[in-house]
Amino acid sequence: MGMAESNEVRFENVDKVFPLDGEYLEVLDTINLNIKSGEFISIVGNSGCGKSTLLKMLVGLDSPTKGKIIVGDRVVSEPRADVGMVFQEARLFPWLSIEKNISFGIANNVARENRQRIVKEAIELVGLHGFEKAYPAQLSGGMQQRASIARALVGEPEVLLLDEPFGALDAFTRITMQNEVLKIWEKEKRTMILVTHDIDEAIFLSDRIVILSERPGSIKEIINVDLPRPRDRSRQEFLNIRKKILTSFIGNSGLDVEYYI
Amino acid sequence: MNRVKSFMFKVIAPLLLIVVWQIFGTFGVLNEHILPPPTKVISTFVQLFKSGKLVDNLFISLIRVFRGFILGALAGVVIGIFMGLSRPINKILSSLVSIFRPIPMIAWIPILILGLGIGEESKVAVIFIGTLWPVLLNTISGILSVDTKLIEVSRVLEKSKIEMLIKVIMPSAWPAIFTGLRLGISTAWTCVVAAEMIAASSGIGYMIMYARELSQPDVVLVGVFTIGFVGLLIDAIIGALQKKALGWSYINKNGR
Ligand SMILES: Nc1ncnc2c1ncn2[C@@H]1O[C@H](COP(=O)(O)OP(=O)(O)OP(=O)(O)O)[C@@H](O)[C@H]1O
Ligand SMILES: [Mg+2]
Repeated sequence: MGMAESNEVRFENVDKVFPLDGEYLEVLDTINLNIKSGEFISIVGNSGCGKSTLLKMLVGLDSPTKGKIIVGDRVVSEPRADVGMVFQEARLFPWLSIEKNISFGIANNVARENRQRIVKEAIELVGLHGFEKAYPAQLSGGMQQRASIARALVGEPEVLLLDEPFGALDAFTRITMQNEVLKIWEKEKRTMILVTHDIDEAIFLSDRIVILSERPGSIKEIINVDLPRPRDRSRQEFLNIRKKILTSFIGNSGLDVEYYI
Repeated sequence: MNRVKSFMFKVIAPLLLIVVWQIFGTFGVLNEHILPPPTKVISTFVQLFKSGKLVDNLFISLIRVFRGFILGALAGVVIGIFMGLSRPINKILSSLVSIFRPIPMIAWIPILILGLGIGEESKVAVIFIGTLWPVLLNTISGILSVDTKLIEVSRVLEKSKIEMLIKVIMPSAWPAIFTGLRLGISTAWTCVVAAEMIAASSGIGYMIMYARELSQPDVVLVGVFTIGFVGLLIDAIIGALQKKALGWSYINKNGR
């Protein structure tokens, strides 16, 4: 791991505009955000407000229209293995076994004998033991997503982006996976940036929660979650934060927050 | 049990055809000098097989097919990869492809004979061209079919261009390339017979033409059926190879 302080993430006046149908679609507006090394950040916001776009630019698959994104001391311009990403869909290679799919995530300079061990550990970690030789099509959606998380983890990125990784999972598997991710984060202290629609998930995991406004997305509010981990979802403090987030979401729309809690 | 059943279903129509043909032949409904009965064809087959004439000619044709096919497939795959990967190369070459591809194989034969003589080269060249088109077009579409989402995954993992080609693009393209190879080998097999019928002194196509000149319909039929049977065999072999190499692409279909 090493120099933990060197991979701070900074968004500086980031705008994103997409050309769309001869017009311009403003998607993100003046995003300024500093994320400390080792921090767990969640991003929540309405559908279409630019959350995925934000992650895509941070990982280097797309670039800001204005402003810049900095990871450590480099301005992001193309993908680098030090920033990893788990996509909304599993995106496994259908022609590779689970084992080989995960192995694909390991950096090329890792020695052959270590690769096997790394894959084995990752498979244990995400609970896919016994499915090493299976192909993605032979796994359930949730298992595929777990394999995809394992593939991102074995690359040992300093910063890991997760774009609604549990969106497709049932409530039980979701909670299990949240616990797994928490364990991994506590053990390895990587920076994690999670996009989610699930407010409880965000509170359960994050140090800070970034709330984006509707499109064009701008930062509406950042909420600190100062609760000891593991967090009890039924504790009053937990519920208070939940209320705060919901208020921020629908506060000025005239809807009754209490009703949604 | 199911396999036996499916095999029975497959052979029932040809068997019935042979029986009817034999009955018609025996009772003199068919002109023996145009369509001799199966028994006669079979005995001629045995005789040609024993004398080595059939095997020799078949072997010569097969060698031609393989030489032309290997060259055509190689060229098709390599050019196809470049055309699939590079927009400029694709633009430059696709006009050539659209001009030359519609030319029927038969039309190439006289040109090639003029250019290369009636030796082996002209026949191999015909097969080369016949193989090239299906392999080329399928390779291009296979390369273009790669899922950009998977490309993004490998970009995020900082894989090199070469690695992306070998580990992501080619595996996505293989099913289409195999389809091209299968079409290519059957075209190649058709081409060799056509080329040998027009100008050759050996090969299965030549054997058929020569027998026609001598009015030996039984020999003609032996040749024709051999062509069909060998074509079937080659396709089955490539099909089996495909299943073995691309097992993953059959998972959903067979629930393996
Ligand atoms: N390549 C593109 N070209 C044009 N418009 C795009 C492109 N990518 C995204 N958009 C637009 O940008 C907006 C934000 O998209 P984005 O995927 O970032 O939303 P999101 O916040 O992740 O939404 P969701 O929660 O539904 O996943 C959408 O309106 C989308 O139509
Ligand atoms: Mg999204």
